[in-house]
Amino acid sequence: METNKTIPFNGNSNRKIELLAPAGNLEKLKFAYLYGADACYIGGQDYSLRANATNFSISEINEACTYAHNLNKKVYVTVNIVFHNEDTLGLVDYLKELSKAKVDAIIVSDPFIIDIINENDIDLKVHISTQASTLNYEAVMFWKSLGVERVVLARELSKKEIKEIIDKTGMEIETFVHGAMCSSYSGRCVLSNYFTNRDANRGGCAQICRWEFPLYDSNLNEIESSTKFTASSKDLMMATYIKEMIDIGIVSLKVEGRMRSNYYVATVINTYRSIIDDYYNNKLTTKKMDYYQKVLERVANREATVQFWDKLPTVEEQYYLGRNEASNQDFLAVVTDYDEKTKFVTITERNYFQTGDVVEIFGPNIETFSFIMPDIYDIDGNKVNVGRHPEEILKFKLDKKVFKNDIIRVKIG
Amino acid sequence: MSNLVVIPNKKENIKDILNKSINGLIIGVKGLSIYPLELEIEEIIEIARSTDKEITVAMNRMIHNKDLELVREILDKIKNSNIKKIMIYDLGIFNICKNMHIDKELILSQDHLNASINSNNFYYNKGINNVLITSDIPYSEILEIQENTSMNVYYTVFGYLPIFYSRRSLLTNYFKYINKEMKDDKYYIFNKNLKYLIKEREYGTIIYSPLINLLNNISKLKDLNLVIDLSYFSDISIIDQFINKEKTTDNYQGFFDTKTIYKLKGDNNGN
Repeated sequence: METNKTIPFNGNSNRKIELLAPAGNLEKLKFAYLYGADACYIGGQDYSLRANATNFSISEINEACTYAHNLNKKVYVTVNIVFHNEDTLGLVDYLKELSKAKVDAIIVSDPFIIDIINENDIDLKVHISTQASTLNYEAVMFWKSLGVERVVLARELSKKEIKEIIDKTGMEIETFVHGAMCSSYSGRCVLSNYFTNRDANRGGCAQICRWEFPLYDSNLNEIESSTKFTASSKDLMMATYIKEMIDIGIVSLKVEGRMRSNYYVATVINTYRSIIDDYYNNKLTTKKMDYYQKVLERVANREATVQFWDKLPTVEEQYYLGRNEASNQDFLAVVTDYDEKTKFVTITERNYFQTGDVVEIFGPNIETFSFIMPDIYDIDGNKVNVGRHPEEILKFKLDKKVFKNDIIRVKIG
Repeated sequence: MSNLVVIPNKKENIKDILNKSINGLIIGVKGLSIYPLELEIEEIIEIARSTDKEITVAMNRMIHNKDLELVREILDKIKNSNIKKIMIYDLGIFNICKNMHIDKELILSQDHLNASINSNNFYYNKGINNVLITSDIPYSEILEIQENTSMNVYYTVFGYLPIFYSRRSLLTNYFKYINKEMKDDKYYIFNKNLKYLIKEREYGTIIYSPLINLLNNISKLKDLNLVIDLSYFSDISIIDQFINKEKTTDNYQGFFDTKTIYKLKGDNNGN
């Protein structure tokens, strides 16, 4: 018989752990807060490691901060490239603008920015990026001695190592909880530079670690195999270890992915929000955890594992041939309106669905629930019973109240 | 006038290398360096005692908590030795050096994390006087760093440079996946006809650049510490070629005169 046990809270309730979301633009930022992020990290149009993301102008950073602070939430801005001589032009003014916008901290990997802030009396808190590959408590003490507020640790650390760092330094420690992994220690990889001339540490990473190569031995004989060599790693998913992460005193859980979709951000953030809140409220059960894990497994187009937390990664944590990166079709529609009198839901379609499909709806203000899709109508009231065109406005009747920006997806589990 | 500094490949070559017209050696210490030749700290101290050339101990591995006790033990032994400098990657070692009042000079070897005038000034002001400069900026930028900082700059002019460093056992994992025995200790991948060495060690996997050889540009390089890294290269006569500034056939020069692309305008990949 399947058991359903409660996972009792054993952490420190004085300071609730922060759920930190990626946001590639203002819309994604608002979605992330709506779905439960306590803070978002964003990139400006310069000096940020996701050079190919849309990124935020200064006026958008101002808007993001105002929006977030009104919700009592935080905004961190990445200034995390490794600077070359030519890159510092305009940096001081940019940092002053960030200070004026009242960003809650900047995330840096190149530490001279700390000196610039101090020399120019700029009011900004500093978080050290994972790109600096901080791995031990003495390195954390070095950052602490410079007045840094927080260190985002390298992703290669185990629970034991992280706990020792926290216990010995008393420093604010942030770690990754979900998303893509670098195969190398971050910052110590310039494969992209050598293979494509795109600068890995200045936002141009071409993800060479995911390429496949024939492998040759020392006599330059090719290793015979239909599977080529790759350094590619599966993604990170720490859902089952949230309890332990909270218990050892990590202050912030970071979700990777500033270039991910609204649906991805909403789903991942909503799920981790639920796990965290359930755990703090002594409502986290093994059955709920099974469901949360299924949701997270479905949302990404890559497999995800625990990576370094409880052991060194093995072949099980690597990707070789046979993976399927088909785009996720679970995301069916977004709610744009709910009429309490007529009980009609208005939605914007994203992926194909039809009357009779078993779907579920989730959102920041509702408990996730499933239902059978009833008759579907177009904007003129014609019965169509199918949603086939992305961005099409459709309606259907639902007795249970839902809210704008709630999301309809394929039923999971 | 530049100095020549050599990272030796074999213990038995050290005497011969020291007899050449070079200025010093960088030697990896057992358990803490990424070099294939690693010696016990006592052996390195003995080499430093027996020569008037500058001996540097390399502790340039990624350092985890479990390594810190060994770091302290080795620093304690270095303290009163003739070893002149300590090469580090991890800033935790710098923190320990300060706390232990180690008065040896440090060479910061952060590979790709320290690539500008500002960054070098930052570390210089914190007390690090030497830098093994990153391999992925052009010589013109290195010159700017040299002219605008007080850093004593080391620059690798020959050798395979680490360009990827993972904690994962990537070769072991691969051979396990394809169900074959890993029989060799060196493997290669190719890109655009260039050969990249992959080495797996007990601490992880490193991928190296093609063999960099700046011999034909040696006369342009002024007032630098030119590093000849013999790791995975057996012929020590290359040192003589650098001493004699012998011209050679065209070689791979990495980023000597090439800049990387910073931003890719209009590129929407991955969005």
